[in-house]
Amino acid sequence: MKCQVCRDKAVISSYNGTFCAEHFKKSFESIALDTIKKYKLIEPKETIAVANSGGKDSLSLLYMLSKYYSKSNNIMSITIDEGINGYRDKTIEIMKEYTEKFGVEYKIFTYKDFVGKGMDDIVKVRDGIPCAVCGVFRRYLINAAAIEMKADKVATAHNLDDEAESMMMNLLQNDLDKIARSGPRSGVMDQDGFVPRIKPFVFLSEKETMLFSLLNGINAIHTPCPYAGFGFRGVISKKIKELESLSPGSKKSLVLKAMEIREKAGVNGSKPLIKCRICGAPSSNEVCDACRLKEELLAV
Amino acid sequence: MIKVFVEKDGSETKEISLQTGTTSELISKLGTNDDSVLLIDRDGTIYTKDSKIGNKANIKVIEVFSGG
Repeated sequence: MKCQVCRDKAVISSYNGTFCAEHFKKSFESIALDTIKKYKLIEPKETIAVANSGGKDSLSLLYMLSKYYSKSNNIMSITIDEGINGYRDKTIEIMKEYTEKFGVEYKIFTYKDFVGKGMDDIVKVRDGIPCAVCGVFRRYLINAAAIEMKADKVATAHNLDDEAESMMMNLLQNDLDKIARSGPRSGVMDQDGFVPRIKPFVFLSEKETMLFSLLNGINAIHTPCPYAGFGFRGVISKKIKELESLSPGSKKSLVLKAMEIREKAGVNGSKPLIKCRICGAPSSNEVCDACRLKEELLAV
Repeated sequence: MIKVFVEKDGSETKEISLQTGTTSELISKLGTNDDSVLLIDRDGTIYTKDSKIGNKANIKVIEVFSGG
């Protein structure tokens, strides 16, 4: 296959086009920058905290934002250490290496400090899918970290696959509220105690993000989380990639449909939030999921 | 018949025989799909989904996964 721009040897052929290495990198950056502009994800002078795991996706995002926005904005990095031995400790070392290389300030927040246990301890005392607990704590701590660091927005490296998977899962679980909170500007915007989240890579696939990191010499560990395969998301993820291979553009169609539903449901979704009785964070219940799980784990 | 040497996820290298010698045939024999893997030759060549693979090529299969 030949690059559609220069006819040189292609390194990828996807729904977004067929490109050589150089034109792929340009196309990737162009799609991310267009997403930022079109959806007004970053305004001048805003402080943007990149949720940075030290993996390929978030390091690629940090690379791009520090390349294009470090003059007009304050770009910083927050990392959540879930306490997964042999995995997160390694990616944190990589995170430190690259944040220093990109000249970005970073801070690490741990499950251990929040709940007294890391994920390796939690899976020993709690039955069920690890991602169900981990996802709640990670989202909670990212928001708390962003507030502590006085960030205006949190940038996450969620990509097209992540968004398409979420759309499919929420459809299958008939969860309109969650669908209404998806898209490039996700979660609840304009809510006290909640730092808005932005997703510049929402129209770029997982494979494109992985290739972008490789072509830019970002030597992230290409190993998934050891607990990742347990969840429903793991099953959906495989199916979505099969569908995309059979019918390119399927993932983008799902994401655009989710955004259309969000538009029709209203920007803030359909369910108003209240303050958690324990921590005061925005919550759809009297006690937020993070505090409920924390109490459960502290009692074990 | 073309033979290629394939290393997946750091596991031992496997020898796979291909009739057509294309990446699409290799992907099918690996039981996966184009959107789920990156195929990289030891010489640095990155293969697209319909590339021809040379005889005795050494290919690293990198699984595409979420997050980090």
